[in-house]
Amino acid sequence: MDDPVITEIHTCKIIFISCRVVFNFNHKMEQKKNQSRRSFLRNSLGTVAAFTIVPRHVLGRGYLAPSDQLTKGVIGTGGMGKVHFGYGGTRVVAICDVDKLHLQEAKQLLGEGVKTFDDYRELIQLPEVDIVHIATPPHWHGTIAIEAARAGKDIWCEKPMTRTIGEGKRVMEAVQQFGRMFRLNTWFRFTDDFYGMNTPVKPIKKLVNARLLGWPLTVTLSRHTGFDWKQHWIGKTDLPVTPVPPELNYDRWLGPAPFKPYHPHRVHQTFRGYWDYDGGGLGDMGQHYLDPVQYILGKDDTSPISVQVEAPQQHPDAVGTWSRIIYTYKDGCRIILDGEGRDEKAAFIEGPAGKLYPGFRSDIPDLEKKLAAYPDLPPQLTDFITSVRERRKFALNEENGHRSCTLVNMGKIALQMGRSLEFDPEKQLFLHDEGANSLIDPPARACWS
Amino acid sequence: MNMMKKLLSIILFLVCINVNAQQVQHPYAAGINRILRQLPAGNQQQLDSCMMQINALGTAGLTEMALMLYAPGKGDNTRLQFALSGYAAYVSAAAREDARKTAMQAWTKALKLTTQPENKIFLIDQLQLFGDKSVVPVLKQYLLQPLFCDPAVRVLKHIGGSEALIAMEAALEKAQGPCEISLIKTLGDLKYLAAEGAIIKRAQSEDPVLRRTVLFALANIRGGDTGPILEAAAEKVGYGYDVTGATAAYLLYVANLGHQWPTTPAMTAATNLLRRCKGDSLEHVRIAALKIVADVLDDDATNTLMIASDSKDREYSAAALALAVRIMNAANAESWIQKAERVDGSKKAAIITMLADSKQRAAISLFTKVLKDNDSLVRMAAINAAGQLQSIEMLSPLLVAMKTADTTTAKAIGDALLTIRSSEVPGHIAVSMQHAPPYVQVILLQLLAQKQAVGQERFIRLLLNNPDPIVAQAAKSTLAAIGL
Repeated sequence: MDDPVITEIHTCKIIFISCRVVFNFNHKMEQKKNQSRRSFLRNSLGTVAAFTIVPRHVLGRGYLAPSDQLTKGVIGTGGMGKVHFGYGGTRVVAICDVDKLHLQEAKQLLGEGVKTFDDYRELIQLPEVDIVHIATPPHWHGTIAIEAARAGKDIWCEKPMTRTIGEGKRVMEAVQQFGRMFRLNTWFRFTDDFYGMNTPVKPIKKLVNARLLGWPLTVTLSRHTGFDWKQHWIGKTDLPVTPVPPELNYDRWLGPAPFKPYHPHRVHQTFRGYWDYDGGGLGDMGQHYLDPVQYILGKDDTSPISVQVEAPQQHPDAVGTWSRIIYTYKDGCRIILDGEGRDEKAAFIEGPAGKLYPGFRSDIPDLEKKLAAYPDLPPQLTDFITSVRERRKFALNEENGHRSCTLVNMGKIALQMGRSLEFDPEKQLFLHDEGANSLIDPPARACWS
Repeated sequence: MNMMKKLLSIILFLVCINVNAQQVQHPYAAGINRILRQLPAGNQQQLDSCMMQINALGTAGLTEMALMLYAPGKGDNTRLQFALSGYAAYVSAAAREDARKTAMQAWTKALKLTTQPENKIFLIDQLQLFGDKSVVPVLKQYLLQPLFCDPAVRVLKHIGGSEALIAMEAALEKAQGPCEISLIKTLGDLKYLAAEGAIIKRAQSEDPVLRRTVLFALANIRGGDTGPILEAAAEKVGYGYDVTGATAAYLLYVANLGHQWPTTPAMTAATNLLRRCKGDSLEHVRIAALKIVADVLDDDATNTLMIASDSKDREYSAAALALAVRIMNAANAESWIQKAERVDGSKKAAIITMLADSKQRAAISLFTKVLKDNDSLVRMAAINAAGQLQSIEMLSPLLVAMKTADTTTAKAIGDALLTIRSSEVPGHIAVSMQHAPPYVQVILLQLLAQKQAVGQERFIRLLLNNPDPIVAQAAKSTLAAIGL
């Protein structure tokens, strides 16, 4: 297994064999599907009455029993997946992981009743799964989300939404094509204190909407305004080829990412340090921090027109650190990501008429009293269970999620190219830069695309 | 002595030859090492400086640099990787055509000379940033080699153009396994019609990965012979999900058909799908087919979507309304308003929500009217719609409705009142609360506190002596909250 040539050939064989297994499984599933859920219901009313909890799939999509819980299949049962097993209104019925140890640990937590898989395509075919929860590393998010939509599942996806801008567009299209509900799992635009701001986003958004700070605005995300860019998520170079541990199906772990010989630093917690799978601290925290800012600035349906970077040169494989990334919108609004904590006096938001600091401090006198006179924000749908049941778009969905993830991916590309870039928010392409555009939607490994 | 002289001469001669040979093999070594010592560059200025130094090495120097890459485990390639990938990114910027040509010549030579698979893959990968048709001849030799075909095909996809397409089509004749899949996928992505025949030959493959790749490639190419093949594949899996993606590929094909004139074949195919895909398990496929119909009809899709919104299938009905939002305009809005007048209950509520989502202010009169609807679902939808539109027009009707509302509805109205964009809101609330039921008075007082309605002090004080102690206490709290 040490020889990468042999590994590559082996892995492609594994793909073919595993797909045959799934193929056969699928035929069996199809036979089951032929039995209409509603006809099943009609024939089983007596049986239904005898049980307190009735699985939703048995009753049909349109029917919701009072005791009904939505069912979830979780793909990726490492640290992130396990955290999300327990969510009110849902019950985990199936899990999938390419690491046998993760799968075993997860099964111990959930009990014997849960179905286990090492191929996500088997899980998403289960008729009893309502929601597919994607908790894999980011390089898998796009592929799995698209396939889940094609299988008619609603989707709960961890951040960052996708590793590339192209994948984000395709996820958006697939979700809308098949009429699915999509939740991106970052939540600061509607609940909890927004990191070091020590206040929820709602009053900040209300303040910005009221134009009390003037326009255009500059938002600074630095450690002085309460944001830690986790610059420790960097990759290593000159990694020696290492045998793949027996519990890990490394080819499936790589999936759509280009083949690179195994090294433990590439996988599990430290994968964020490699461009093929994520984008360091920017990939890890970027959408948590940037999504609320896009919302605050009212930019949910657009993207910046430029991204400037100040950073050391980046290695083609291993993610490095950066000093500053600046996004500028068409109307002059800017977002500054300060990776070094340079400006201790930076305000979180600065406009021509005032500044806002963490803790809702401001240089505008009696700000809160002034703000009270302004209208509150329109309501958002912030419960995904309601979204799924009532078929209404979740507050952070495939559209605005893609847009906020685009900021993360624009920043990553500018870092990789080592230069500042201009962007067309409509076409979602960089201007006059073929190299940068080649990273908008780099081809995946054909076997997994 | 003579012997010694001869021996020394020979040694001197051999040393000279060796030095000369070294100079021939590595004439740029010193310059390259000088550059490598400066990498990784600490900032943009240093990066530009290093890249200009690499540029000055020319094709030969750059080739030599690429050939310095060590085999795995034989040395640290990190600085060389910084240099080569940095230069690949550098030449891919606009107005660096000369440097780009230099890079391509060097890469071509280096790819021919390097024997290490890992280094070859690294060099091929960098071509994704800057390669053009001049590197097609060197890349096409890798298209049948399992180790290199996937990275080589990725570069050819980036390059596109007839040279790349012809090279891939030619390779497909003999390709097998992973190479075959990479080639078919890319020829499909690039919509290369000339490859349709070669790809169709593989459509009946028993290998699900190959079959999946073929089906999607054909859907993208959209050739004349493709439709029946894709339709049969989807039918074979009962229009459900399977690992070959047969249904998704057919839907892609039909959607692509809808983008070309005439659109009748797309409409026929989508309508057939709507008819054939029965049952809950295929509801998402029916939705996808409906979207194709709506996309083709565009502004004229309203009637179709109205009929679809009447469906008893909850997801299908909701999807029809979501599609309606995308083509909403004043004329369509009027039709939907009329439809909302004709239906009841959850259907009416869903249309109201859809009109609010699409910011149709023309529907405000409808929202106002249904505040008195018998169905609580409808009333709540109208209240939420008022909040969505931040509608000043609904201020008075909301306050009137609040007086006869239950607690839950009254609270929802209170939330909606807070969203209304008008400085008149506190005044209206203050007057209205005087004659409201006690539980509504409490809610309205809380709203005045949130609004810091200092100007309404007189009206708040009127409730301080209210016979209901809860209301009186709420009035007291409100005055305190606004600092009076």
